Amino acid sequence: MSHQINADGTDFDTLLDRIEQGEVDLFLHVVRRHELSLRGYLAGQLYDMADVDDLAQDVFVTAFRGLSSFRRGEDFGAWLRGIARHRLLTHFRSRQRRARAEEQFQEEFARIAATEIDAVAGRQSASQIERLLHCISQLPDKLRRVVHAGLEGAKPTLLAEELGTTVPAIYQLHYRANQLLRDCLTKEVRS
Amino acid sequence: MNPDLNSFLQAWTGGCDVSAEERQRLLERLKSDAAFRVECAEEVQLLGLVKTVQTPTPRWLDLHDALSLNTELNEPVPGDLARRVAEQIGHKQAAHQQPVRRWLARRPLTAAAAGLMIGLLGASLVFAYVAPSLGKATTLLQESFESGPSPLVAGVPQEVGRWSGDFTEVVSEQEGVKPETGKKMLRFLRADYEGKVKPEGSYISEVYQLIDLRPYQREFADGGAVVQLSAAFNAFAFPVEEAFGCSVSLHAMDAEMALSGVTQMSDMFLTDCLAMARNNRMKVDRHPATWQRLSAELRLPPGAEYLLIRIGLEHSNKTQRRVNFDGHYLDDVRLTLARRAALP
Repeated sequence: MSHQINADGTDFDTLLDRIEQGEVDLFLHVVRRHELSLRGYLAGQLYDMADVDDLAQDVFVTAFRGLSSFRRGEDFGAWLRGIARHRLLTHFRSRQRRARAEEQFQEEFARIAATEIDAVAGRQSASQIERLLHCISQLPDKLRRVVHAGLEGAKPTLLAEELGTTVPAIYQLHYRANQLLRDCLTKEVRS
Repeated sequence: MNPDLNSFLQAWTGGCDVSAEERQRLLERLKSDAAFRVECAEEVQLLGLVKTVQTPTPRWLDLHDALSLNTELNEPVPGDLARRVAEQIGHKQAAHQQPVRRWLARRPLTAAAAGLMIGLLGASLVFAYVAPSLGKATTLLQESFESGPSPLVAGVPQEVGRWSGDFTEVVSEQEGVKPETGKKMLRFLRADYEGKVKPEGSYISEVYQLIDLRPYQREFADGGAVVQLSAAFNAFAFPVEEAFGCSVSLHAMDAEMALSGVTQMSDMFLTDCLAMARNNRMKVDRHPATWQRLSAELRLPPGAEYLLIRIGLEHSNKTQRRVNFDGHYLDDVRLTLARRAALP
């Protein structure tokens, strides 16, 4: 459990109380604080950003309407992820019949590795996520190109053709890029 | 990288054909091998994050409705809200900053009188303070096509501050469509331009403008700033069997890519630029009396020197695709640069 404190030392729970008391526009502050981490968590299970963004919105709406059920002092990010997990299951069920092979695989993986996924997501701080873009810009050109293109659909195949290499090699390059990004984030945290 | 992890990522992203048997074998290993589960979870979570930070925050209209707010989520948070947030959570430094002067962004003539407006090839370059807790926001472009030269019909521009793209024309009120602001607006005419290498099959009409970011590099040197682009679209009545989609995108690039002509020769800049964001999730409605606004946001990478903005309109249905557009309009294009403070 991580107790959330604002930069000036005041309690995040105070903000939630004010929202519950009717100052609903303050919820935008909550959205901005948790948007990247929530969308990142969902993107780590769906990868399709249109679905990710639709679900993230659902999660925030549900969270806003159920704010009274959030126990003050607990980890708000973990609470959001709990709502997100439930929404993900509903999403997986709704597309079951028409799911493509990779979507079925994503669903199976999300079910089998739910604990591990949540543990990994829980370790990622919002400030680290904010710094990720800076770390991407520090990557060598070739790796940055692979990261920018992404691994969705036919992109690895197209990129492999363009770079004169194989699809597995593109995945290998992205894996290498991920290692460098982790190193960069670790160094940034230390500094 | 172990071969199973490589195979797992291919199966998970759908980037390559992985046989059903191979997928099943991987799932079996995942069930029995805890270390492999952790390894895979770490990889896909980072893949998700990398993708997330490179895409814009969407317009969450349902959330907006749920909160019953007039504030657009993709717009900078208005100063009074920011000040109240700051006050309520005790952020005294932010609370005591200057009052918000957002009005400058919407009143370029007033700003000019105050000596703050700089003409830039027909566009207005003004400065405004928005959301003190988020820092200063700068309006890089506010365009309503009232003055300045007509857009070039030359595809992607290499010249800063000049609209260029496919065939368009600046027009006044037409067919019941009134400009969103001022007396002029831009009409999309065709999905090609003079000298386009492969005009066949074009069905997306696009206009671009190149923005020089170098004067603002200090603002985003630490990766802590975003640019927000929004544009208003409208059309006069079109057949019920037709549909039209709008899109806006932002492409951050270095000088070599922006000025060397490579952006004209190939659309690889769409993916090869330093960072990009796109929003194409809006269809044109059939109400000429109202304008629809589409926006996108991009977090600027520290190495960016130029920003290419792209605004497009397309024939959505394959059966209707053609090079001409009958009555589709663009107006009130806004581009702002704002600090997005690091989250605590």
